[in-house]
Amino acid sequence: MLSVDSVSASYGNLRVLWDVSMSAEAGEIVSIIGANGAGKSTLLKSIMGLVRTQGGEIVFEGTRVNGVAPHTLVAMGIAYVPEGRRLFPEMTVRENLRMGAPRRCPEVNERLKFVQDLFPVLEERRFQLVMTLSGGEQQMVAIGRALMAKPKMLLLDEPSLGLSPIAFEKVIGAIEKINREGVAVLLAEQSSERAMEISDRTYVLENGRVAGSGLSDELLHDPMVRLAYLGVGT
Amino acid sequence: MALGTLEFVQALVNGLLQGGFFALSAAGFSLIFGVQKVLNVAHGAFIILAAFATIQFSILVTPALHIDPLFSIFPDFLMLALLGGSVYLLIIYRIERTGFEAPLLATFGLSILLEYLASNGIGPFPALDPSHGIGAQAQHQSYSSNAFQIGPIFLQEAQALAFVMAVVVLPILQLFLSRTYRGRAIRATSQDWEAAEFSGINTKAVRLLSFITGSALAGLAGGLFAFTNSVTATAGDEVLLPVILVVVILGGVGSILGTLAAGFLVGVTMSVSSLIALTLPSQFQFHADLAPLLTFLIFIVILMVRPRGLFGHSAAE
Repeated sequence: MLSVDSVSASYGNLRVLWDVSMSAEAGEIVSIIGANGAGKSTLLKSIMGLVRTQGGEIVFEGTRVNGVAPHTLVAMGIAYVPEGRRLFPEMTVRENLRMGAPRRCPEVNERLKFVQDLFPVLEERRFQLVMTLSGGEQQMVAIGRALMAKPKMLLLDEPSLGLSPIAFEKVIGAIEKINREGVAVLLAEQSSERAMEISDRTYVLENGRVAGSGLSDELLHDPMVRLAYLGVGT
Repeated sequence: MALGTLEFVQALVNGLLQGGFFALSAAGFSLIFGVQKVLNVAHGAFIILAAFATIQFSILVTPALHIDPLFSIFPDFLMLALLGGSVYLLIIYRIERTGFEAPLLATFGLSILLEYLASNGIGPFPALDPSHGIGAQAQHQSYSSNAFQIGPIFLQEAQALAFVMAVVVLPILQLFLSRTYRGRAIRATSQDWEAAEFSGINTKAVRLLSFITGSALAGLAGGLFAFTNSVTATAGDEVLLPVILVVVILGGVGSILGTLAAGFLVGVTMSVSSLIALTLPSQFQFHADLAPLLTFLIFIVILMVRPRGLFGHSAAE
């Protein structure tokens, strides 16, 4: 469904991604783990067209999408939940959600209902400005806004950031539910253990390179991975 | 000279009418600055361009087709919409991602270019210089004296129209921004353009739309300006832009209703302080300077209390 083939990216002179290759198939949850600064966010931004890539190729459903504008990618079926949520602060919950759907959208009410079934609290909060919400609720709005585009694939960047463990568990539950609806999920997370537990496959990024990859179950029990990324000894 | 109630009310009314014009002039600037963080310092020149077009209309079209020159604000609106769209696509779009300075310099250059064209009579909008301007001036002078009366209060027709335009058009614009998808897309882009883009909004189209809308408003304002002020090539920078900046900052950047309120405030302050100046003993009659002095004093006081303007959003956001 999505394949990234030896893609590099830089911020000015600082090279952040080095020949990264990865893929995600329909129906999968794929997690990307790695330390702070390993390039997880940059990889997602490159896929989303927010960072200009150098060399390599990004292909989504058979179409080369390097250099394609983000709003076009959304229309093609990729949605993105950024690090830090990036909601529209001066808009209500409902308005934020509405912005995720296209202008002409006959099924906008069904999509709203899907999001509100997923996160019932957003129904209560629908007329509140998003900045009055808790971190967990804001994360729900960010995921909800992305889902309003009815994506085939959802990119999530560090959804645990700033959330309590309970709130993060709710988000994890929602991600699994979304995936069961047939949406492929690409999850970049520093809280690696939870991410790996719910994902089918995992890529380990280190200094902008893919340092390892495999089935999440296997990597979870790999002593090297446990020591380096999960902070637990054998 | 004693200050009569009637004079005071007349000054108040004049100020409100003038304030409507200020708001109309400033709203487009505020919209463009709010959405794409571009300070379009050519906005004053845009207004003057429309004013020139209206004068040409009164010379060329009015005698031939017997159309009221006030009607020219509609072609002005369309012409400036077209100009705004072209300026955005040809200039601003190519440089706006580089930061704040390049668009500022580019629109500054554009305003110099427009002023040069106007003062040299090149292009479709010859300047109002004495040789071929006298006829125009005469026509429009006779026109601009059209006034009507409500009780003892005099209203100048074009000024009243500017007021009506402001109180009708700006709330409609506000409704458009808060109630329609495209309006919300404009607001979303102004709050976080990148988030708007990855939420599926074509932010280039949104910026184009806001530049067109803002410039078209300058067209309306400019058409009306020709009826109430003498139009010179540099009036945009010398007369209009300072007031526009005050109104926009006072109203809160990007807030259309704030711009409307600030326009009225500035208009009334200027006209009432001119009146007060007239009542001072002759040795203190620096009344030509008192209006701007008081206006800027109020401006500074308000900004000390509310640094983001009357309707601006708090820094916490």
